[in-house]
Amino acid sequence: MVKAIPKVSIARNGLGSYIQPCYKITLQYCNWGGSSQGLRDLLTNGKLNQFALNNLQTIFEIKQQRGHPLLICNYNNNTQHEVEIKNLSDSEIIKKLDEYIQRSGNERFKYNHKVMSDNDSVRGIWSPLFEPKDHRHKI
Amino acid sequence: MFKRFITTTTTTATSVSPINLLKYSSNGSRDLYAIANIHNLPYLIRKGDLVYLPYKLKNVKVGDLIDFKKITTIGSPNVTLNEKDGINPNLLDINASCVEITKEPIRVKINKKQRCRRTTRIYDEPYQTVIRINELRLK
Repeated sequence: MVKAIPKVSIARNGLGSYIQPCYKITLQYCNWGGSSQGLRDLLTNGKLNQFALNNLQTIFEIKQQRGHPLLICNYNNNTQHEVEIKNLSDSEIIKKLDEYIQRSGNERFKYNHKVMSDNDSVRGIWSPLFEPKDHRHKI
Repeated sequence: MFKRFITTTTTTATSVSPINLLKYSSNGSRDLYAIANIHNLPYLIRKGDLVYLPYKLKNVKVGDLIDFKKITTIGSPNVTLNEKDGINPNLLDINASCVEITKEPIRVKINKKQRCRRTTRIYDEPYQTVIRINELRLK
């Protein structure tokens, strides 16, 4: 009896459909400290609502806690990034949000090649037998 | 695999259009590759590949579909079609989706002048755009 070999499917986000990896962002602020002033402005002047309407794939959670303000970004690959936003103005915080929402949660690295591929080589592996018989190197 | 040598010779001998030959030899567009130019640099791509660009693409957000203006080569294991000024875009269906916009890991350059103990540090973290080839097939 011939058994089929099970093959695990490879997750390739962006092939066919795209799901934003950053699914949840927690904005942590302090009600008293001066370093949270920018985040408090952002929450009151309605800029965050506008930003959230443009990014419907992510949840925005607001949390009040003593200390410096933080952005906690949760990604699909079970990673969390904590971003310090102390003493930043509201527009600077929006820039940070925009930067971290577009990431995938993977560790940053420099790729020294152009293309990363899971596919096999198109032209196959070269063999000297591809050469016609009279063109081959004779030992 | 020896067939490859024979088919490439027949393309010049007979007047069959290379696109028709590509259709027969590409296993239903599965064994197809293309060389696309992004900012005038060639990238050999297949369906599902990730392309790492060491800069931020202008006016592109995560999840956007990207079209290629200039494709110089399409090929299968047996046949290739080259056109220097770009292949007619009506012949093939090719696009990519922007998957991630991040930064490369921070790198520090320490500058020191001679006979002076003072050093200056230059921090650099360039942008990185990752796109995934969403579709590559012959029409």
